[in-house]
Amino acid sequence: MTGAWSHCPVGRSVRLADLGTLGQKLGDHNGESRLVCRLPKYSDWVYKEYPKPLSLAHVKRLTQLIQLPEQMTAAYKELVNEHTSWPATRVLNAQRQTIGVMMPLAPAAFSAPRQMPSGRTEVKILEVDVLALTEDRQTHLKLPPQPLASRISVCASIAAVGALFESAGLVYLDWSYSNVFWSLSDYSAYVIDMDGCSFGPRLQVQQPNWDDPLVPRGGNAGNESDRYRAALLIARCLTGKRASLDETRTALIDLRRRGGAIGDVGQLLIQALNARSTTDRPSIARLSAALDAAKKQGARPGATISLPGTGGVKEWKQLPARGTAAQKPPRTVPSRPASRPVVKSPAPRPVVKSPAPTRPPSSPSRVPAPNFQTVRRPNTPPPSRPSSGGGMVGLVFLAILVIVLLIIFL
Amino acid sequence: MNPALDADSDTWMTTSPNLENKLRRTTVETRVNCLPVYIMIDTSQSMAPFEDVLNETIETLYDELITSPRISEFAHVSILSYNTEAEVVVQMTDLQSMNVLPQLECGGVTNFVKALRLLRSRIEEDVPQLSNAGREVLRPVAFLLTDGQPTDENGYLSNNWRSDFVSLVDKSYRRHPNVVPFGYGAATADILNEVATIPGAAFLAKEGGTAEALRKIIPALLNTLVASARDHELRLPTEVDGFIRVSPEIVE
Repeated sequence: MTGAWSHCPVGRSVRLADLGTLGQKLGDHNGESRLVCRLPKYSDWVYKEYPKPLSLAHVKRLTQLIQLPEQMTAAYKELVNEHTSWPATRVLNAQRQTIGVMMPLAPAAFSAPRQMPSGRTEVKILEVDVLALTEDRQTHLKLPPQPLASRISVCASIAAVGALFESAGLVYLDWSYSNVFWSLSDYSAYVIDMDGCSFGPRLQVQQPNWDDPLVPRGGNAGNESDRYRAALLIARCLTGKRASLDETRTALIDLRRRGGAIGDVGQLLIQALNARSTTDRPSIARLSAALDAAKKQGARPGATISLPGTGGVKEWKQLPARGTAAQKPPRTVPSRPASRPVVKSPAPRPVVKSPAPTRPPSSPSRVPAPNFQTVRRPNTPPPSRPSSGGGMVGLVFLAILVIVLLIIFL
Repeated sequence: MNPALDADSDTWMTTSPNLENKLRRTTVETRVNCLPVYIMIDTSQSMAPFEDVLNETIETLYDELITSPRISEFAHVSILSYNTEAEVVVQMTDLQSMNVLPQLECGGVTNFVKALRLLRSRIEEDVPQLSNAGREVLRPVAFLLTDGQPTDENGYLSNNWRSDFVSLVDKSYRRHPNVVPFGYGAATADILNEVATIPGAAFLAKEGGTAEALRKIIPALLNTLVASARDHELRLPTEVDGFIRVSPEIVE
């Protein structure tokens, strides 16, 4: 069973000694943790240890956070289980101090075998770091280039989680390339590292490259800062442009100009990024609704536009050869290598059990192929009538008609 | 980084002298900053048994850097090797476009002089290039990997490198780099302390083979680059698995 908040194998607090031996390290001394490792006894879970025991205020906050999904609707609970590494259990030392937390491991669907530049194949977590790239950069990294429809699908999933935080009054602030994973199988997102979420505003976090221009470091940051950062992350994932805020904004404007595939999303993102007051930033819930709408729209033929800056329009739809039946459009997601991936040891992230990427529901490759046989090419003379056989058929038809009329009138 | 847990300060060293000024800044910077990183690998004769590990090390580092845009956009890495001579193995600007990986060959002596001069010349070349590309360039950092003590060109222990080193790291030299040494094999704490420009940021392998030490350096370097990329400034670990921190203040 995949690790998820609802399926926690222990209670909402557990002693470290009861977790068994600590397994493979996934990270150490990384930001707010001393250690993050797998738990052999509970294979779908990770243990994150803080550098020192939490203060009472943080214990209270973490406990509240762990219990929060209990009050959620079934739909929100599903979102928590499937798209977040929601903290599930406080981990205590012998003195019953909270020294860490147990959280679900990202499901295997959020990893994929990747061909490394040196030629090796390694199973790696898919961070949105590699989604927020232009298609040509993805190709350069030997990743399947991601069309807009796939990007919209992942971003809709990111926004859904952001909207959940917002509705619960949770302030996350940690939106970044490394804290959101995505899946090549269903083009959804998975958000991690939320054990630091606060209920209501708190001191702004230092996030170079994600700095909120209206709430600088040292200021009090609430959901408005999350609106900015989530919008920035989504804008970068949609456009693949990330070198600067200006570049991202320009790419967004270009994307809006090029087609209606993103609907209101572009306007909302620009509003979030350009707002002169934090209160002018649209809610993540609005962005989420707009992305859901764009996702549905994106499944329609014709809405599958290419991203800007990739050297022209990518051929997503292949016109059928003249005189043949309509053909399926080519796959936009190249198939994975057939060979079994070599998992490097020690693998830094979870091992994929059955990484068999499939196309997303809204992927252009699933778009029903229009019947091009009925479409007449412009400036092309209509096909001439058949020169043989057609006359005889007409005569037979005329004879039958005469016979029928005679029967009726006689 | 999440200060909600107020727990970051004891695991990473910050090297920014003007942290307070940075905290006061309220506007979004228009120039994105970057960190020039030099990994200087000792390829002297004593490293010959570990050639395969060295090459494997470079390959791993290269793979990780290329496949993590969030790291490579901030940390611009160049790899230098040194023995009797010094050589640019991977040029900073070439990392993204390389088609072949260099294979190192070990031989010769541990000539720091050539290594330090090459480092300086590369800094003079790379920093202006990054700046011209519109980046705000942070002080370069050189991770100096060594398995022995510096010698002259003939392999005799020597102090001839000191004048080059002093002028390289002197504060009057505007682009003076931070030097963070990692020692293994016959490397000594004294030498590591001498070349470390950040107090406490010198690491000597615990008991164990050179191969094991080399394999542990890569995760340490990558963690360092990940943390630095996250905070957009050089962040050095206070602990490195398999290594002990050496400091002039630690006498035994």
